[in-house]
Amino acid sequence: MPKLSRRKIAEYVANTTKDGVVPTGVIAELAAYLADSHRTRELPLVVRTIEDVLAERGQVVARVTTARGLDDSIKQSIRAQINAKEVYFAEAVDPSVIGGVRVETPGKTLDATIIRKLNSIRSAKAS
Amino acid sequence: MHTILTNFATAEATGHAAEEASGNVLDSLGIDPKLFVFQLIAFLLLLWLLNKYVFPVLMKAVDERQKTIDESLQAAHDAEKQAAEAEAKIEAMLKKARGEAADIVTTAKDEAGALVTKAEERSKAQAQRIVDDAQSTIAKEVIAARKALHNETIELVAQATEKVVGKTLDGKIDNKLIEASLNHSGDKA
Repeated sequence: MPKLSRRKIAEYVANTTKDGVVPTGVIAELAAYLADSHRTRELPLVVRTIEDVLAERGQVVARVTTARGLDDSIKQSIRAQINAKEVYFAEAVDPSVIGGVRVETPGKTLDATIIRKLNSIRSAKAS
Repeated sequence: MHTILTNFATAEATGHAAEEASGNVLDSLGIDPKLFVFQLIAFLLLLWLLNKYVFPVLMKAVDERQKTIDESLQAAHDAEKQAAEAEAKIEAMLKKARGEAADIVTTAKDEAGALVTKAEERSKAQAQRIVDDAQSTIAKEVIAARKALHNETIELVAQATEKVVGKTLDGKIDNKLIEASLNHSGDKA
């Protein structure tokens, strides 16, 4: 089996994506290919590359982390900030962030969580 | 000896007549002329023997004794003179030694004074250095304590904020906070 580059794999998966959803069959194919070619460790990188390819096509996957979940008004604000043709949300709820939001998009990260601010205060300690 | 006795007998025979004449005088004095002569001869003989054999020995002994006494006196005199010289010499040496001792004591006092002064200066310098080091150490410790206090305060404030905000922050306020953060980020961009 020829070894495909991550970029090619990502473009293949991105081509099959509709409305930000990857068909289940494509996911199975990807999993089988990575397992067969002993490249399962590359999965996080492959996912990132897929997100990069989608972002180039105006389809941005935003990983949003909050302490209590997202409501629609926040999503709208995030969409406005990202300014892309389509924005897909990968939401995560993490109480340890205390409050605020962390938005990660391909190439950009906005960390406005309270825990980040507290940590930046802590890191400003006199040495 | 025999000759002497013969002569004596002859003289006695020839003088017997003269004795007759003068015998009366000697008899009146109670002197026996023969005995007198004999005693005189014996005396002279004794005197001669003594002079010949005894006196020289005695005189020699006396002379030797005198010589010994003279030598002893001379030796005593010399010893006395030497003792006087030695005493004078000792006195001079003692005087010199006293002078040297006085010099040594003076020098020792001066050196001791210099040593004490030097030791005092060294002690003062060392004490000053210790004080400086202590002050420097104290200053460093104060700075370190301030830093530690500062850090501890920050940590406590962070922990307190984390707990207080975690308990008091509700969804509404959180949303407002998120909106404000996003708007602020948009303004920056």
